[in-house]
Amino acid sequence: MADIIELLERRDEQGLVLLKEKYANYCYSIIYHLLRSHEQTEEALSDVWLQIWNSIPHARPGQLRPYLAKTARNTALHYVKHNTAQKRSGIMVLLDELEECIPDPQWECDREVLKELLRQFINSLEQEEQRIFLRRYWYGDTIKELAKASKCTENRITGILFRTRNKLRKYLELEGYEI
Amino acid sequence: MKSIEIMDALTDMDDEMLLRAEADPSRKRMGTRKTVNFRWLGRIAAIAAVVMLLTLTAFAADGIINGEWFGGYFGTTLSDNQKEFVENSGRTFTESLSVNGATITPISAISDKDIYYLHLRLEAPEGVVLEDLGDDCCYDFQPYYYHPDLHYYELKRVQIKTYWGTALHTVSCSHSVKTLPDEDPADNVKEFVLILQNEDKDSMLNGPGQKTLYIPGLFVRKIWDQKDVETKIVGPFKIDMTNYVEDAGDQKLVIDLDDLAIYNEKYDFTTTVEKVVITPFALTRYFTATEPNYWDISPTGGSVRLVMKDGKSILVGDHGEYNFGRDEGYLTISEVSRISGLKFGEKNEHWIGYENTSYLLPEPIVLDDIDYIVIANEHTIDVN
Repeated sequence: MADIIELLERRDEQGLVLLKEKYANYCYSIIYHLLRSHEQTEEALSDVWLQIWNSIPHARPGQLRPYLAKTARNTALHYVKHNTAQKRSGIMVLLDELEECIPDPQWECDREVLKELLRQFINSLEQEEQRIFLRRYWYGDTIKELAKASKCTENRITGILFRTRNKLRKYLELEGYEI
Repeated sequence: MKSIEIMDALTDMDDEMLLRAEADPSRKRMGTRKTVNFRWLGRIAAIAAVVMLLTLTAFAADGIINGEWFGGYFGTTLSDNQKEFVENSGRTFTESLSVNGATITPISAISDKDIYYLHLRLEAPEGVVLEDLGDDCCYDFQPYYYHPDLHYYELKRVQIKTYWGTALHTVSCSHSVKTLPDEDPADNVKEFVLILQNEDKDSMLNGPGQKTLYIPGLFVRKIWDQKDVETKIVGPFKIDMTNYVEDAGDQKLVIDLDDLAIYNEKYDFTTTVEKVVITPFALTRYFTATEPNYWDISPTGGSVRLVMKDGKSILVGDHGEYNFGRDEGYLTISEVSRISGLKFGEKNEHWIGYENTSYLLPEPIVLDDIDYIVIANEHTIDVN
């Protein structure tokens, strides 16, 4: 892993080749789970490689895998925001679900503050809730995929997510943002 | 506020949090299973199959060794033990897959933990000829594209994918494609042997768990600079390549050579061979060497001849001093560093390099049938 970063810092293209060999499918999976379009995912993935090439060496990630995951996710969300013709794909379902957590549609929150609130909230969750919440809303796993991985019914997953969204809503209310 | 802003803010969660979320909660359970019913795996695969996946079946009634099996790639003079090993180590397929006017027909497969052989037939779309190629070109199942902006070769790879829980995992592997003799090179049909070499220490090519093989297509490329010449077939093809061999075990024979020293008088270097490891499909030498007196010479560890109990003799790795070049039986396992623990001294001083070179065996070997081995045509070591 350190070798790939070192190669990229030296602007050695072999670093990019190795990066793609090792992480192409990983990044593809993250993007595809949000866009649910192979064509868009391919385009987004190309953007990811370009971003990584341009961002390293300025940003030397402590752990490459999460850094790649965040870059891939950001890229996918960029496509969502700028694609007004986005079909009702996986991410639209996720956005609908997360609407329930918003204290007030008129409420505006600084991104950094919101980020910190979410981090604290997710840290407060029990291990299984945390994993399921992140797998659903960070990685875009479907209910079916979550149920299969957790070896439980889809109803159970739906229930856990419902309760966790309610907890998030109450958490944000307690922080002073009432409905 | 809109929910997309929550999605956005979620991106910057702690690395450790994300890594915990990626850990598969069900892997422990999978690891404790002692046996897996192969046929049940097949039914699950069939139910979950996406449109382009082939149906997984158990061993077909005809068996693998049937006439000129594997298109004659391994030859036909197998012992009864070898035949039994082959039938127990592989599978046949019963269906073809058509994509973009082309048809791929997997015929049979055999594998051990780290090497997987797949015999398959490709039929190109009507009008596309799969001719015999010259010495400077070869067929491959993955394309190479030159990216002018970033000055690198981008390629879509032959890949093996499996699921670890919900996470799609790519089994790191290298591959090579061997084109079988073609009676009619003017038509649109050719048979190949695809060789996959496992570079993933956490995976077994003959282990449980469904594995899907992705073949981007069929391409003609230059052998030496890897640039594409022509695209013959556009895929991708997804083949259920699962070949679970229950109770396969480690299938490995380690022969300790106690640092056997072999001196090369012509180029004044000494090779010290630590051990030889033999699996049913490959042989690996572990050795160190001093620096030859000529810059272009690389030590190889010496040839290894396997002598079987029935008298059959198999020679591998007879390259003399050179360890590069494209021999049919040459394939380096990239998971093992080609050179590690290297100490460079000043010019003309001795250095010690450590190289592991693996060779594919020309036919599957039953490890218990090896009588003895001969290193560098000189040193005989009893095995069984």
